[in-house]
Amino acid sequence: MNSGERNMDRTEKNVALLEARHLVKEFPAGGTRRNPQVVYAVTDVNLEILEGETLALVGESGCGKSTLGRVLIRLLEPTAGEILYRGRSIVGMKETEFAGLRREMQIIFQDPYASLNPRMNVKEIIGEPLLTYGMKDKKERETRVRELMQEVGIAQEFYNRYPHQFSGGQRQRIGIARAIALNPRLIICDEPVSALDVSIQSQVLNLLKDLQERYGLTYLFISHDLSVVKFIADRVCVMFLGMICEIGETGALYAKPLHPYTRFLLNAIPKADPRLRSQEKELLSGEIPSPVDPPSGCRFHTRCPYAKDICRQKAPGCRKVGERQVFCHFPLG
Amino acid sequence: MSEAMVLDIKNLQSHFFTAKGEVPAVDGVSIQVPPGKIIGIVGESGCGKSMTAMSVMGLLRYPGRVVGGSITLEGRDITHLSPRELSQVRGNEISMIFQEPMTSLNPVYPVGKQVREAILLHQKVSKAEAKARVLDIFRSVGIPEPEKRYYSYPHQLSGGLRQRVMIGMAMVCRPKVMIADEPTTALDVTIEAQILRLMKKLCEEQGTSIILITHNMGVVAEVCDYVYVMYAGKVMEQAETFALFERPSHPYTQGLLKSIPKLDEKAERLYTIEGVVPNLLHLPKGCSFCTRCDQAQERCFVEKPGLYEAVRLNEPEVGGRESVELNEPAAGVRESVGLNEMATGSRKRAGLDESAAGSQESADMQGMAGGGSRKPGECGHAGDGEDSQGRAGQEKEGQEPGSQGREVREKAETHTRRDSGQEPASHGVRCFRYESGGQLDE
Repeated sequence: MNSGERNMDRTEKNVALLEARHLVKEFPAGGTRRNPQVVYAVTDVNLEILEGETLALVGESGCGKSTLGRVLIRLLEPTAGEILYRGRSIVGMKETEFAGLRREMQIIFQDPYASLNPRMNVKEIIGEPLLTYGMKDKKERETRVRELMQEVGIAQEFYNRYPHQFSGGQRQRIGIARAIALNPRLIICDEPVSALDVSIQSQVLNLLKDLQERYGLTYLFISHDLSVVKFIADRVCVMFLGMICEIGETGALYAKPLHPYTRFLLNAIPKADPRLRSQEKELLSGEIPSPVDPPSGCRFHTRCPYAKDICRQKAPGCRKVGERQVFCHFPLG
Repeated sequence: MSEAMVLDIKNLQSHFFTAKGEVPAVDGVSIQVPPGKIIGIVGESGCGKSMTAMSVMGLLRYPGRVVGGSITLEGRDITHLSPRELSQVRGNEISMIFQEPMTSLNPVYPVGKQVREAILLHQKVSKAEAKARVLDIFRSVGIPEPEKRYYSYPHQLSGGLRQRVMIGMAMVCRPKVMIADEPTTALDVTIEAQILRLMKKLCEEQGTSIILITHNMGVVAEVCDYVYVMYAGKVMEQAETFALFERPSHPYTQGLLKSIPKLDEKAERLYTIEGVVPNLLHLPKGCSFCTRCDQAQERCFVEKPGLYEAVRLNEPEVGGRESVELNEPAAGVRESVGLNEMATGSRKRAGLDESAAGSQESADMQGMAGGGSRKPGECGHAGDGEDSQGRAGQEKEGQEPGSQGREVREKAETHTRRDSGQEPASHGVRCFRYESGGQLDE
C-alpha cells in the first residue's frame, strides 16, 4: 500500500474514519461483593474522528482521555457502546479478523523511557511490528527499518543501539518510527511530548506534523497542554470526568469557548507573557471530583459558578451551535 | 550592597565526582534574592537548576560537592556549615518544596503531625500551641476543614492538597527564603493556577522570598519578578521578568521562547533549537551553547563568554522590535521610565509610600544616563551588576553594613526594597554579541 495512493483517496475530508457511539468504560475498583465500587472512566461518549484530521482530546488528569484513546483502538474492551472503524463495528470482532485492521491503528505513548523494551535494540524495536505482520526476510526488514530511522531523524549509525543510549527526544522518535512502520491510518498519540523539554518538544511536534502530511495520517492527540493542542489540532474535544464538554474546530473553540469548563481551562494556562498576568483572572476553585462517585447531573456542576438546579439533576444533552457541540444546559455566549 | 539581599549566591560551583570524570553540574552561578520577591530559575532538564537549589540547602549527596563560591543568607555564610548548624537553618530560615508532594511527605504519619514537627524542631512551643499554628497555616494555604485534614494521611489527599500541605510546612516557621523546585509540574493546570496564586499571596503577605525553579516559561511570566535562565550549569541570561520577555537577548532564551506554541496564533511549524543539551562531561571548549546556536561565530567555539550587560544591539532584533542606538540617552531614559512604571505599580501593591517612589525614579534615570558612558573597566564584582554600583552606591552608604537579621530586612523593605539599584539582576547575557555592554561577572 503506498502512501501516495492513500493521499489521493483522502482528498475528501469529513469522512469519519473512526466513530464511537455511546461508548462506556467502567473499571471495578474494589468495594465489597454486595456493594462493588466502580470507576466511571468514560461515560456515554459519542465521537467522530475524521479521515486525515488531528483531533485533540484534552482534559485534566483522571478525566478519562487516555482510557478513551485506548478503548477506541480496542487496547481496552469497552463496557458498552459501539465503535465503527470505516463503517465496520470493531467491538466484539474476532481477533483473527481484527488483526488485519489493527495494523492500521497504532499508538505512541507518553513516557519514552517506559514504552521501549530496554533489552531490545533499535533494529529490533522498530523491526518488531514488521516481523509480526509477516516481513520475515531480514534484508528487507533492515532496509525498511533504516528507511524509517531516516524518516524520523535518527542517524543510521544508531541501528544497533539500545534505548538507554538515547535521550528522551530520540526515544520518542524511535517510538514514532515503530508506530508508522506498518503504514497505519490512525495513530493515537497519548501525551507524546509531555515528558520532553521545550526545545525537544517542538522538534517532535514538527516531526508529527510532517509525517501526517507525508502519509495522510489521522491523529487522535491526547494532551493536557492546551498550547500544544492549539498548534497541532484541527478539532478539539474537551473532557471532564469521563464526559465530553465541548467539541469544536480549534480556532473557534479557543476564541470563544462555549462550555464554562473550557473557558476556565484556557484561563488557567500560564501564558508566556508577563503583561497578561495583571488581568485578574477567574480561577476555578475546588478539586476534581472522584470518578468513583461522580456528581449527579452535569459532572462539572460542583465546580461551576453558573450551576443551577437543573445542572444538579439532569446530565446535559448535546447542543449544536454551528459546527460546535457543547454539553451544557447554559452554554456561554 | 549585598547586605540587603536575603540570599546571595556567588559564583557557586557544585561538581559531581563520578567514575567517568568530574561533572560541573553547577558552574559559577551567581543569584541574588532580594526580600519579598519571587526569583525564577528556568532551564531544561539537566541544566543544573535543581542542583543549585540542593547546594543552597546543603542537600547535595555523594558524589556531589560544593567546590567553590559562597552562599550568604542574611549576611551569614552558610556554605560550609556543619550538619548540625545546617539543620537549624534548614526548615527554619530557608525551606524547600519539591515537585512530587507524595514522595516528600511521610506516608505513615498524618500530615498535621508532619507539619507540627517542623515547628517543634525549631521553636520552643508546647504541642498544643504548635497544633494551633498548624491549623492556622492550613487555613492560610487554603486547605478546607483543617481540623479534619490535620489527621489525614498523605494518600487521602489529592495532589493539589498535598502540595498545599507542603507549602504550609515550608511556610510554618516563616522562613526568609523558600525554594520551590517545580512545585506545579505534577499538577493539573487549574490546580497549578491555584497554587501559583497562593504562593504569590504568601510571598506578598509574609515577605518571604521565593526561588521558583521551573521549566515552564508561562509559570515564570505569571509570577516571577526576576528570572535566571540556566543552560549546562551556567546562567545564560538574567533579567527582570518584563525585560526578559520584552527583549530576550541570549540566543538560547530567544529559542526557548520561540519554540513554545503560542495560544494566540496559529503557526504552521514551530521554531526548534537544533540538537540536544550537551553532555556535561564533554562540554564544548567555548560557549556551552555554541553547538546549538544559530548565531554562533568562530570565537564562540574557542572562548568562553562572560556575563555582559544586555545593551540594545544595532542590528535588527530577532523579535522584530525596533533597534535603538546604544549610547542614545533618550532611549536609556525611556526604558528606565518604562521599567519604573512597572516597579511603581508593584510598589503600590506592596503598600509602600509614593514619595519614595518618586525620588527613586529620578535617581534611576540619572543612573541610566550615566550608565551609557561606562567603561568596561569599572565593572562590579561577581555578578552584582556594576550597574547597581553606579546607580545606587551612594544611597546605600548611609546604611550600616554590619547589622544583620530582621532589622536590615525591615529597612530593606521600607527604604531600599524597590530601589532599582537593589535589583539583583541587571539584564545580563552570557553571549559575545553583548560584549560592548561591559562585563558583569569576573
